[in-house]
Amino acid sequence: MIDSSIKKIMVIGSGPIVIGQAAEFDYAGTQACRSLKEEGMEVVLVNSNPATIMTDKNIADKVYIEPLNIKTLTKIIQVEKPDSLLPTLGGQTGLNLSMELEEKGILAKYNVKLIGIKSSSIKKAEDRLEFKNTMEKIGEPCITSKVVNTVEDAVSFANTVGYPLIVRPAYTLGGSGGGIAYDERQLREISENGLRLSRVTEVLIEKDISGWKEIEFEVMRDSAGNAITICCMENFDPVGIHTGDSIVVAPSQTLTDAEYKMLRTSALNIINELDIAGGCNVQYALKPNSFDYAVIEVNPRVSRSSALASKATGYPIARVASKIALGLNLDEIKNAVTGNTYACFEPTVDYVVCKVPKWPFNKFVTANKTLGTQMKATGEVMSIAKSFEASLQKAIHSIEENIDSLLLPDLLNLTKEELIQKAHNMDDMRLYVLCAAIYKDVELETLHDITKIDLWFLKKLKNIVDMEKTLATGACDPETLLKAKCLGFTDTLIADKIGTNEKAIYHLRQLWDIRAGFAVVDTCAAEFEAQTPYFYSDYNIENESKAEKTKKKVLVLGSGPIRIGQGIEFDYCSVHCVNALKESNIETIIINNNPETVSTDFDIADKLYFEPLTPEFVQNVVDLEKPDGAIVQFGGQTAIKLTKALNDLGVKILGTDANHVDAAEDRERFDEILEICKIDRPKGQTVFTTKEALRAANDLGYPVLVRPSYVLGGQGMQIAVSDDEIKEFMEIIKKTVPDLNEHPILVDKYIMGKEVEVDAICDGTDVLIPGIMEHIDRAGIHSGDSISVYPASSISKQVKATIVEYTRRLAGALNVIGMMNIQFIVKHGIVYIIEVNPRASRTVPYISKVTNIPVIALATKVMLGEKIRDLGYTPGLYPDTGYFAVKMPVFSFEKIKQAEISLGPEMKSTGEILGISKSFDEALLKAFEGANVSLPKNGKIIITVRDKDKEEITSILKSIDISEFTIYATPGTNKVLNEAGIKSISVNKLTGPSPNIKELIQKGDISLIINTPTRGRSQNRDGFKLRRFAVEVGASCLTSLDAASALLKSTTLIPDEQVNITDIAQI
Amino acid sequence: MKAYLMLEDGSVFEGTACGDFKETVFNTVFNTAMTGYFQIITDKANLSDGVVFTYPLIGNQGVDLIKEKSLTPAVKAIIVRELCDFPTNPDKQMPLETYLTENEIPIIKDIDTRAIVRKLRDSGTMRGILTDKIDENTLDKIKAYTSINLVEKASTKEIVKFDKDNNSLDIGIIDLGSSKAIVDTFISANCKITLYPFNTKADEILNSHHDGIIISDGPGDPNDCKEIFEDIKTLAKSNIPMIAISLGHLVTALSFGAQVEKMKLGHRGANFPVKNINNSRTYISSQNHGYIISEKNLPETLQVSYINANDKTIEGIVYSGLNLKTYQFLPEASDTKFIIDEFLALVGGQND
Repeated sequence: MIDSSIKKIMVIGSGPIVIGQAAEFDYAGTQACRSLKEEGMEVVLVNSNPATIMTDKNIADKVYIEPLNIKTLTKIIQVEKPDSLLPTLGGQTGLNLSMELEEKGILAKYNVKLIGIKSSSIKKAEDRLEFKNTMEKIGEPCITSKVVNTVEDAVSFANTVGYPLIVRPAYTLGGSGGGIAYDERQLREISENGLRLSRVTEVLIEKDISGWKEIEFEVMRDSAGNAITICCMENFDPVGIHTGDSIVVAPSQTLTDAEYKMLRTSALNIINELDIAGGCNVQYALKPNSFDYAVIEVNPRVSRSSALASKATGYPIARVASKIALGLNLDEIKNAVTGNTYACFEPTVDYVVCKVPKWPFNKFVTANKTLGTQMKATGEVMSIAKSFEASLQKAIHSIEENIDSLLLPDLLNLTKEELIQKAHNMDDMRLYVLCAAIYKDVELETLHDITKIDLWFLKKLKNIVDMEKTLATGACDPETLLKAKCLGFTDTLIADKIGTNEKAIYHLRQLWDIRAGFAVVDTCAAEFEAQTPYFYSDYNIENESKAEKTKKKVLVLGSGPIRIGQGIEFDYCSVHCVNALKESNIETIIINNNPETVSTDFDIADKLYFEPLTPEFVQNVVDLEKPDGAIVQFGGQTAIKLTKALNDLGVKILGTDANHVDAAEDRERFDEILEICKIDRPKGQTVFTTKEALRAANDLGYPVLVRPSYVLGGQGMQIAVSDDEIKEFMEIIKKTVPDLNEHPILVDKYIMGKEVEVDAICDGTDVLIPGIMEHIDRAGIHSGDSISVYPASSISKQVKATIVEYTRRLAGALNVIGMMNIQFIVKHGIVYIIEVNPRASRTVPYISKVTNIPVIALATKVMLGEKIRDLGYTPGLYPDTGYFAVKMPVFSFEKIKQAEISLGPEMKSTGEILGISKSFDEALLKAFEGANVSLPKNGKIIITVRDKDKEEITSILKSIDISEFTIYATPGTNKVLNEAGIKSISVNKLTGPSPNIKELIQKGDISLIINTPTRGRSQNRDGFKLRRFAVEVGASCLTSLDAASALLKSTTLIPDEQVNITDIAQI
Repeated sequence: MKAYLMLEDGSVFEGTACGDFKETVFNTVFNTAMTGYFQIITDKANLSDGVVFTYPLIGNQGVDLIKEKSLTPAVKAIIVRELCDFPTNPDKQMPLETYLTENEIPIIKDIDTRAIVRKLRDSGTMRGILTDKIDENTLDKIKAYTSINLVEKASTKEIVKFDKDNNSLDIGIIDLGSSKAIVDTFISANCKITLYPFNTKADEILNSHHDGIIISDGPGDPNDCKEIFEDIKTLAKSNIPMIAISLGHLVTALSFGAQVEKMKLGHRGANFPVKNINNSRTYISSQNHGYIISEKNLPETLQVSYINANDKTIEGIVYSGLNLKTYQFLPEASDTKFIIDEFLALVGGQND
């Protein structure tokens, strides 16, 4: 029964997307808020991330897009007076903040009670020592370990138990600051860092159990004590690689019945002891061929794993957990999937689920790609099939790494011995190395000995390799073809192996009646009829998806895994598009493969196909559903790339047609359009080879911008100042672009000006521009990494008018129907165009929220043929709303060792937060605060900038009141500052003699480092080392003078104690 | 070799023959458990059954050479999507196919198991045949199939004793066919056990003065056990602590005048929620049955103690005035093990 004292609940979100905390919390939070509202609760939501669905005003009653810190949360509690706080929905961030509110007595002071979990239980699960004691009390084995607060204690523990040892800091997410130490030197280094990053200066040193199987259980319990397990997941990679970086399989495949039952019982004992009313994740290490196991950790909240378990089984964990927090019991909550059973049952599945991580290494060429206890993946995909082989291959197609065959040519060129050697490396290539080694007949036992990956998995890889060998002999009979399809081989790969084209294979399949069918994900292995249309494809199965034609049907293509440059914002767009279509009485079909997202929740679209976003898998859906149209504008580049395939299948592309999408992206065609529109752009050329690139650069004159066409997030984009850099960048580009003839390279003159951006909705006649955004950082820094301000206030009325006019002309010339995003550079009052994206962009969610224009809904309706004027909007630039909104990028540099943090044309941020206020400076300061860059009025600042920036930093400092700051500067910078009359203290470079920057930072009281990088990518330079050092110790480092200037200015202007909050529903 | 599963409604599913493949007729049932295929294969409650596994990968852990290989399969056939031919631990396990072949059990694989389950879900449990050719007689063969007196076939033929030196409690188990799991449970609880053929007379059992009595699970139709109804009543009236499980639960209910009905599908799997109606606690249970006690005309002495949280069917009975509790689910498996502990405590208490 619902606890009648609960009426108004505060929910804290997880903040910006960072590695280790991604869209899964938007999915869980959104589902939970809807579930709470369903029970009549009033929900107050706080999250700093504007790109989320959960911060929509129809998800919660009050929505605060505010920095996630105690100061702001306290203020919101004061204003809103919630009676309860549900702490388990916002990941580690939400949990930690809730604990802090509790520990500081704020919850008690304002009569707010924690629901779902007691604070003592959070401590038992999160605090290393209490966790150990709790496990010991109930007889659950932990790994031999010791909690230490100093490096010396760590070393002395090591002396008694020996190496290797794993270091895990308390209260950090994604394993930040942890690592494996093989000797004392490494132990000292890792534990020192871990102690610094831990909120409570505490790390756990534990015996290394690498090689044991890693198993996870998702468990659920209600306040009556009824407890069930939702899903048991097994990591393909043994303990040693973070589960977020592992391939994960559900259900477990290699556990015996007895092992499974043993761990299941253990998981239930643990959730009982922790007295949780909600969900919980328990991670185990299981020693193969024994009944030895150890509890690795417990997460008493929704998590990445709970999102995966929800999507893998169909059981909506967050939805049920939030109802339990209200006091309902499992047998009182309906199973929304079947509609006629209850939440109190254990899901049983009749398929194999694979999760494969998506890593950002293509963005960080210098980064260390080794996988370990610290998570590095930005996102993940999930796939479903009847066999492990097909499930794995479908997942690989879904991660969009251009991999069709698991046998990579580069690796097949290596010898057997080289491959065996490489199999030792725990990195992003290991799966492919294993397949190549198996191809070269390396014994499975040998690979098992090296990797400790279960032989069962290795044998499955061998099945895939063997089939590829069979196909390579030219075998093409109905039996082989069916078998290949059942193992997850694509038509393109089969065609490639037997030497034909995929169309021929497709036709053969039609002839032999080898067609994909779709089965339902129903939580119960078909025992009951399911109400929810959540499908996956496979072969040799009955098709359960009935494509009845009752009304108009539209296919919406999702955006796949979260990656740098294509994040949660596109999921926001996809979901809003689906909602708008439903409003227009259209049947919606979504294809997506990201388990972390709202769009793949079972009740968003009328039909959900959990499939790779590639032509073949999309065609399976199209063949069956025969949609009246498809929408590609909201799924980022992933969806745009499918435009041609859909067009070829005869599916009508709603909105801007394929021809004009191409015109916007094809350099020559686009140039022609600009000519007609009389719009300037930085001069540029299209090239195919390094030689041509060099010629173009010299024609245009350095600096130039080099980038591949059809890219996202500025992948491979660089500013080159010399021939050498052109050569270097071209080499890198060639590795990432499969075919230069199809996707040539663009070389543009680089103009250093003010960057301005608009999103526009066009109906074929009129154009609506919700707002103009300007970047604080000058052109040259990727728009996704720039601080973006709405409304643009530094540009003249005339420039604004030009921008509106250019937008109108381009919309007309490109026949845009729906969304477009244009980026401009303004220099000396002249407006140049940089690029046009005929699709929704990263800024759409935030501009929708701060202007209160339902941008995606309007765009969707326009694509269906409605007109802006008829929808109640006046074309042109929408008037300002009186609020300033500052979008601040957030980075995950601390997770990616050796990555260069200085910003440039290639995007590096993983997420963003928003600062909203009626005052520009306050909005800016809030944005910095939300991004964890906080500069106290009396803060200590280190300044070390390259020569050409010295003058500029001087004038910045002179323009503000810096009397309370303490400024340190390296000798060169210091000299210039002192000469200009700015008081600063000289300090030597990082690697210089004492006193040097390193010592200063190590003392821990530096608030901000301002450093601009010199040219070149060398990791040996002092600047690179300084920036990495700053990241690793968690010190704020700004590499853009514009951003630094903005921060300094707003800090000096806004009083410390000032906290204004804005419920966005009021805008 | 191509092979077929044909059901009595005439529907046909195609797959590949393996194991010791031969034409075989059975009751077609499906089991939704994702682990424990070996227990299902050897559970004598499945004596007349061709079992469809809903989980598509069967045999991943093979058959344990030490603990499992010597046991005899009970099923007539298995129907699987994918049969694993390379167990995870080849040193300690033999492939499931080898084991079943040695025990002369046919298998059909590469078959659309989900389609079969959906068919059974809609039409109810049906008889079926595995065959490599379908002709005009095939359907008649299915329809000629009857499975009666399965308990007689499955039950022990003679009294078997499990006795160690330090046994504390003395338990008598009436074997309706599927008693292995419960025997193992009581052995590991250090009990002295006497296993009786299903039709052992009550007097003989009572003469042994057991501390507690159990009526086990077994295969088939509880109405086949009419000849033991009176003995069960006699045993119950002795007031020796007594529990009955699954088929035992049904047979006991029949003995005391309740009615039993055949379920459309049955409950077969490891994820069935049962609710204790006295304290509203719900537990996940393992089940394997195709009949159920009817709520209609339930005698007053039979008090419902557990119900299924999903379909609300009767899952447990307490007999008023008697020291007898019965369970439709398998209490020794997973979360309901406390029932066994409570029984042992009760038995031990009486012993003191």
